[in-house]
Amino acid sequence: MKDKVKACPGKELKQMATDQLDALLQTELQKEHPDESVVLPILQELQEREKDYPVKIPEGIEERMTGYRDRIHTVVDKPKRKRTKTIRIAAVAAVVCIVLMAIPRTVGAESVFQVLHRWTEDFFEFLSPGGNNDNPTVEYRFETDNEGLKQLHDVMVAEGVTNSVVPTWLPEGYELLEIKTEAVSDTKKVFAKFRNGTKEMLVSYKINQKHTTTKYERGISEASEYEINGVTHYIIENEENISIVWMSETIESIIVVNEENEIVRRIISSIYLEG
Amino acid sequence: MKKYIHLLCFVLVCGICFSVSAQAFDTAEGTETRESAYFAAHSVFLEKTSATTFEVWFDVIANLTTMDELGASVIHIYRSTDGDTWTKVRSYYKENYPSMICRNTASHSGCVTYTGARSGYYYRAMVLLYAKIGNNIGERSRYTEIIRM
Amino acid sequence: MNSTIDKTLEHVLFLARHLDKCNARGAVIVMLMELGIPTNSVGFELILYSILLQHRDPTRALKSDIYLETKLHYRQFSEEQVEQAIREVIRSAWSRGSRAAWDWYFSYEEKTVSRKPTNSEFISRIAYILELWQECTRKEDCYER
Repeated sequence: MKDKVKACPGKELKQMATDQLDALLQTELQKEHPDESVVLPILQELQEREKDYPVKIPEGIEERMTGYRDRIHTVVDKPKRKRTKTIRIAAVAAVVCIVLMAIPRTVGAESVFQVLHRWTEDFFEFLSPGGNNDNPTVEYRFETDNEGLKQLHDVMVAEGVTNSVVPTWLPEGYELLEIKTEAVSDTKKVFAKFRNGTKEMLVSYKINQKHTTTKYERGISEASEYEINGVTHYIIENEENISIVWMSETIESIIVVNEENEIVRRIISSIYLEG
Repeated sequence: MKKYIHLLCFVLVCGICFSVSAQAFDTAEGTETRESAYFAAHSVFLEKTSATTFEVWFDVIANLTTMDELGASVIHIYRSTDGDTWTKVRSYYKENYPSMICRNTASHSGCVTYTGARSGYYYRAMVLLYAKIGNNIGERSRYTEIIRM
Repeated sequence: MNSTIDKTLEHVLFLARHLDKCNARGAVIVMLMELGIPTNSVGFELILYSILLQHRDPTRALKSDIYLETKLHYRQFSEEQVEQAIREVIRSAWSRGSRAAWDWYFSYEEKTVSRKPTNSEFISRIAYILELWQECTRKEDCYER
């Protein structure tokens, strides 16, 4: 029957009763991929029949449809803006040319293709837990003039951390603002915030880190490596700030700071004061 | 021709957005900035706690600014029988779970617990990390690994 | 014919009379076909799925919810591709579909629709019409033969 509908839809459909057309429609719609060449002619035929024999619609039907007037959305009759194709193309081409020349200089890249390539790589991440420490027998001492760093070190010792992960030196003026310990599943996280005037520094240690799911946001530059005493520290530029991340056995460490590269390296080096 | 125009317009919009944000990041409110401006590091993962429950954990560190609000705004849990086709089974919104967001902080971690997980099914979660400072909002969606209950 | 009833409701009642034994998916397929959405396109399946999602839970937001879940259901697409595919089918239906059908679904208070709806307008409107259709098919006095 359906093949007949497709072959000569008008003739066959007119000979079918309305109930038969409804049944045919329902059957077609139950398929996974209903055929519009079957469905649409049937609907058209049904609409033609209702034009000839109108169906009585109950009074007040709109009021009975729950909140119809409030809920039916309007597609507002906005006037269409007149644009000529040529002007649009010319305007777009002109602006694109200007922007393409401006982008690389603005962000310090040599060409726009270089810029796009860097921006597709947004993260830095460790691929496996466990750190890299080629000198496990070297013992480092902790000695500092910065009260905040002492407090941070004490908290780390209280959590059972014997590795050297806390810096012993910061530029003058950095004071501890807050220090907190929280549980992240079965990992302990120690977080500290320092301030030096308008500058801030964040330090975070995750102890017994088993999940290598941390992603570090980074900007257009690649992460650089700074290896000291067998431990590789990754220096990641993120906007105006620098994130220093490294894994030391099962401790995942991050320091976020807004300082020059030289100072950043000095902070890292100060972690490993040989005893 | 239309496709070329659309491509040109797309490049134009991208170029304008990035060039404007690169120059005006420090001063303009509501300027479009990249998600990395808000976040320094983030981590999401699932932790099985029993045969029928697991926790969705998130941990986020802000990019050196104390955020007015920091955490996760939405967590969706998805379930699958084969690991290919996924169905959302539960959503958690910050409005209903206040512990998903912390105020005036640069670091926050938290979790939501999903109960009633079915044995043999695969689960994963999408966490929409959220940071707000002033009128500016940064969001980053992260997917967890897949676990089998 | 009742001249005071608007076109949308009139057409919903028509669909309720002839699709009363259909499921929601079948009803949406009919609506999309009438609007001229090409059934062999990828966007057809995506827009169908999105409308059914929106119908099930009208409080969902389009971008953070509907596109995301549609993307997860049809694994090979990203959210941007889902949005683009839906926009593309609406655009092609706007150019090839019948004006009458677009008026049935998108007009209001005798104003004919003069611009192509956005993705969210389209999906929320069809989802609401589906809700009306469902309400009609359950009520016996919605129509009389």
